[in-house]
Amino acid sequence: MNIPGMNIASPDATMSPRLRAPRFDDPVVDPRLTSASMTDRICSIALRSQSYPWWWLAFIPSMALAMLLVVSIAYLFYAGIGIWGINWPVMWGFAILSYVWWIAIASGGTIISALFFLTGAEWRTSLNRIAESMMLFGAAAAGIYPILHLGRPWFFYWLFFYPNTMTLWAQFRSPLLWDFWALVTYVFASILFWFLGLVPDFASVRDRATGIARQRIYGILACGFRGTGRQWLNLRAAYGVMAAIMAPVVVSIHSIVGLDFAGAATPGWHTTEFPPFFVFGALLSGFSIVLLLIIPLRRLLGIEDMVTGRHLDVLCKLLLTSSLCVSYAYLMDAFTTFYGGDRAERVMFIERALEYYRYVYWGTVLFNCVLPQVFWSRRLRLNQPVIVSICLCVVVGMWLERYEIVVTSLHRPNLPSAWGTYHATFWDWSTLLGTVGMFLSGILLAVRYLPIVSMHEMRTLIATTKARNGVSGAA
Amino acid sequence: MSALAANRLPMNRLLAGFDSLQGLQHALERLHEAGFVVLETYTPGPVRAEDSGSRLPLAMFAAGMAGFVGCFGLMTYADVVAYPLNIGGRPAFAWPAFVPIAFEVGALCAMVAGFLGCFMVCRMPQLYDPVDECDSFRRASRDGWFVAIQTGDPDVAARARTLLDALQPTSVEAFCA
Repeated sequence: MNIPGMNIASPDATMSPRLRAPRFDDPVVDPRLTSASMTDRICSIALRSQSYPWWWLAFIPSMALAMLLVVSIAYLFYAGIGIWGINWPVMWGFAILSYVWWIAIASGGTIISALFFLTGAEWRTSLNRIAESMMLFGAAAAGIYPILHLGRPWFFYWLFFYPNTMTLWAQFRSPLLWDFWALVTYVFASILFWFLGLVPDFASVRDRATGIARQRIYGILACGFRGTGRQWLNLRAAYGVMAAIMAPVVVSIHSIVGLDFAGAATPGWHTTEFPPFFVFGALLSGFSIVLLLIIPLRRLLGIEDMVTGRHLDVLCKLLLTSSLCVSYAYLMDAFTTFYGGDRAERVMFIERALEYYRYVYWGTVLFNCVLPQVFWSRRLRLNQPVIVSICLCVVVGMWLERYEIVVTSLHRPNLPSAWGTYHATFWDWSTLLGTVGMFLSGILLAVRYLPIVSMHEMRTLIATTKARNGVSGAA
Repeated sequence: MSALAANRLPMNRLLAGFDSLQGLQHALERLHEAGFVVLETYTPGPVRAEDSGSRLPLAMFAAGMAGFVGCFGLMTYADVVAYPLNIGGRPAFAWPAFVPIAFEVGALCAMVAGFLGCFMVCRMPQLYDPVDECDSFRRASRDGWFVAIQTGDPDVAARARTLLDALQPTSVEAFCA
């Protein structure tokens, strides 16, 4: 069915993408869609008076997990970080590795939304709101971890530089402080970027809303956007520059996270490849999470004619590309270890690959390097069950990669007398699952109450598509 | 149009809607030729394709550079003057190490300037505008391309209606402000 050449003459060639299996040559947007029908459909999702049954089925467990996070944090603040599995020598455990994992997921969303905005990729238009929501809630999940890990979280403000009676300054030469500022910038910049893109869409929802409460809430969120010439001109200009800033910011944050590790003289960390290596990881996890979100959502929300086979095809190709980048980084990691000739590095690497934590290492290789290779096949790039399975594996694989980097590097420090092992405790797992619940709850709330496709950009896309196809008027 | 407003104030403005950008652009040309005061356009997308003419990018660049230079200066002051710390003889003015934070703070300043500046020049938030009273205006955020003109006295309004009716609008509505 999906083999190229065969489907051209097939009877469903003229069918709407909503009604048939995705194909690689699907248009980025169904030509039958108009500005009016698209706007009405997206607004009606946000304005439904009753939620979909599937929404509750997904939201209740997610919210329960988010409550587990609240309990875990409350107990952490009461008892201290001794409730986690961290100890000497593995003093960075779940908190740091999950922080890196989440920030990579968030970064992937920004890359789709900002970087591909700059390149002018048309397929990005219908995905950008989902990607930006993923960025926002991923960054929120990431952002709480470093504070929890501080041990004395009530002193977190010491990381800011501010006049204080101790006449102390922060250590500007430390990558850990760079990371703090990168995270602060990233979280705030993400919120601003996300909200500015939402304002014109809130205006569309406001104008379709019935009932005084909805009209007021969406009216306030729209901030009085009416689509005047001045508003479009300045909003588009500001959004464009913001995208141009977000793109280097997202590369910087994940590079700086890499430098947190590379700056330490620990076997397995002390390498210059870490900043790009971490950015590759961000790409891989970002593409896999966005695929995991759009595949169910396009069907459940009935937006198959906006998120078509073309999107799946493009994202799977990008996932494959980033998987190859990550594989290159793993290869270089092994190569530099043995080329460098440092004994502690070699011992650590051999232990990582062959000893106690070997399943973590080879799981990483299997999930992140081997399995995504199926996307060389176009047929599999459009097979939704296959995509979902591979993406789930990649998400787990990316988490294992961080486990491998954080835990296996630390468990074999330079001095053999300091060697040790690490095991997560119940509270490690509950905090991790809790952040997953928080992320999913946030995404589900966004899907339910926000315009989940960027309508104003879709209208422009629909108009340009129609102009290209030679249909005049009715923009 | 609300009954309350209609009773009190003269209808001194007209809102005309068109179903395409081309229709609106044509109408704008004709209105300018006829010498009407075009107050504002309300559209579901940008009227002009290019994004030139906004001064926001310049303001964002200035704010970003100010953030970068200010933060870099602050770190230099802290490490060179206020609290010099000799760690193994390394230079106090370790400028490459100051770049990442200065970049992040500069980027944050540019983003905040862009966001606040955009709200300021777009005159947002402004939750009420007289044009909201028009029923047809709801389509401006969907697929209607609208233009609001000043009419003032009834003669001008009648002339404007005649002109607009010839341009095949989807709606022409009077409102007051």
